[in-house]
Amino acid sequence: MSATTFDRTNRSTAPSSGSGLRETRLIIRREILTRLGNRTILTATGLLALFAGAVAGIGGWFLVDSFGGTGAMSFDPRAIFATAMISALLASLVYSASSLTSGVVEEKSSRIVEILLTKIGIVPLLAGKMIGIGLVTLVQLLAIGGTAVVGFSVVGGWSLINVAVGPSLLWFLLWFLLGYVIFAALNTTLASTVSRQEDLGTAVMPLSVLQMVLLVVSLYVLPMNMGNPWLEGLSFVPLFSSYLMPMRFALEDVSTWEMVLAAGISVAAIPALFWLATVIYRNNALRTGSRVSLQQSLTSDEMA
Amino acid sequence: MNGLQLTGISRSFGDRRVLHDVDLTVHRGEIVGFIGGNGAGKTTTMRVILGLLTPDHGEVTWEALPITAKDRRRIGYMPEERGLYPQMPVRDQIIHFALLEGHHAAAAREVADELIASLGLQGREQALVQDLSLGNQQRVQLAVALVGDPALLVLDEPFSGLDPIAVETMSRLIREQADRGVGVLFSSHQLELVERLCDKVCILDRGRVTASGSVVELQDDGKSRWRLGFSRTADSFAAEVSMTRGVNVEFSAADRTTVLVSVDGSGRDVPGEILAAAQRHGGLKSIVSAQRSLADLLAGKFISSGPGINPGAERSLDKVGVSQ
Repeated sequence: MSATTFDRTNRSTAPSSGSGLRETRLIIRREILTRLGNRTILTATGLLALFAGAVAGIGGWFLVDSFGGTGAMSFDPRAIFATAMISALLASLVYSASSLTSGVVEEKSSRIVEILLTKIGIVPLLAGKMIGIGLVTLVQLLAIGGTAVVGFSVVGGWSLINVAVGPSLLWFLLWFLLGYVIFAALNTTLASTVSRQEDLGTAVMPLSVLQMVLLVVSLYVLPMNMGNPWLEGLSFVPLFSSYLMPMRFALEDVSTWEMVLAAGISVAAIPALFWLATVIYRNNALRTGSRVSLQQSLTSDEMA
Repeated sequence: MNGLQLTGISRSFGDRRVLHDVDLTVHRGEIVGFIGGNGAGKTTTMRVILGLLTPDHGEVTWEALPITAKDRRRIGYMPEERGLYPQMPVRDQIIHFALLEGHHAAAAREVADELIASLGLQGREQALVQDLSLGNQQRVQLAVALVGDPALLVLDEPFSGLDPIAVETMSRLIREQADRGVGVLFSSHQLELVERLCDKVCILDRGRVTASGSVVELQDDGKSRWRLGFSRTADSFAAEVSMTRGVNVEFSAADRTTVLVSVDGSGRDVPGEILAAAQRHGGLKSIVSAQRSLADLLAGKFISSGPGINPGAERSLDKVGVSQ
């Protein structure tokens, strides 16, 4: 082991003080580069995109071949579209949550967080992490969903489904983004209560269960109870709206103002949830060992 | 000579007070060893310095002024656990932290390449941190601490888990930083290393500074000590010598043939009356000078001659003496 003398006294470029925006951008950069440099992620995304395109193409061909021209379908073809959207939403949110929470715990367990918090503060750190992972997930979603749309289009599948594809997809992207940010804030909050990867599953279990409940409600309960005032009310609640509104949009005539109102409520909830995440993350950043309860997280003040 | 100064720092977690009026100074170009048992409060003190924890009382100053967030950005920090992304390549990791320190992209790459060369990490630039040996991980960690051209280094257990060669390299790198005018505060359980490397030592025990100063100052408490070995039990020798004014005698219940004699004053030679008593007792095999090491200070072995200072040590020793 040898080393030469380290001397940077003659460096001409002095460090400049950072700004929150610049630091957020750097955290985003790291999150993206880390995933771009991961061959497993790239390969899996590519294979999933091919698979989705093939399944959509074969499924579309089957539908066209079976029902094309007859119009005698025993189910609402729009449900296929809505189911595909909800499934993609769930997969994206589950994947991104896993990536985000494991990153939070990794930084905490390795004490990188101590260095990061002394250098850049908590808001750029959490915002950069959420945005970076969100962008990667969005690109993956677009790649996988895009090939599925192309595969379905090639065989003429859209002719069977009476939905406004363009607006539906745009709304779906909006619901994905809103759902992602809200789930990301909540997942970050829960992940910060633990410092070991093996405790992570238990910590985020409430949200995992909620995702499954939302899936069941949106795919099975809502289609059979269209017009139910409780479900309509729930579709305006953040988290629920990301799952229920796309389904309502696909299966019934939802007013634009309802969609805008539901989206507005979610947007308004984001700062509050992000603030909650920063408070709990800050209180728990230096805590290691066993899981910290949410009550403890809220009442203690560990960090300056 | 200004630098970092902690004055009267106290900090509690709930009802548990972990720091009691801690005073600590790290001047520029000075290496300060921070020693104490597990849970003594070393890491908490470091976190107070870094601003990760706010003190309940006391003040942290940098260059004689209250420390600011900007000042803290000039602190290079190495946490006890390896504060690195395990699945990130070495060079990318250093560049990332250089960018966070405010360097522009080209400068960050330049800094990373310089540090890689300086720390002997050539050939490992693209390796993932998790695939490196512990010693190399420590070097990457040090590189991350140095990317911001720090004015102060705060290193929590930088030698933990290193092999002797890596310890030597890390020691040299720390000394080089001090020679450049960087203040260095590091904690370690390797006390011989602290003795050898540090200009100053601060001993923390259950949140209190029990001793602070240069190694020489700490070792010199105005007493001279010798360990006398006999071929037979030395009880009567100890009893006789302990009657002498200004002399303390200690020996272990487990080994009654070796006696530690402390004499007030800093004389280099064993006083004549003690030598005479040893000759009268007979069976004298050896006389070894026994100055206090940091390990002794930490364990309180020699401090035990003062009543009540270290009750644990007193219980473990049979004490014979009239000076108590």
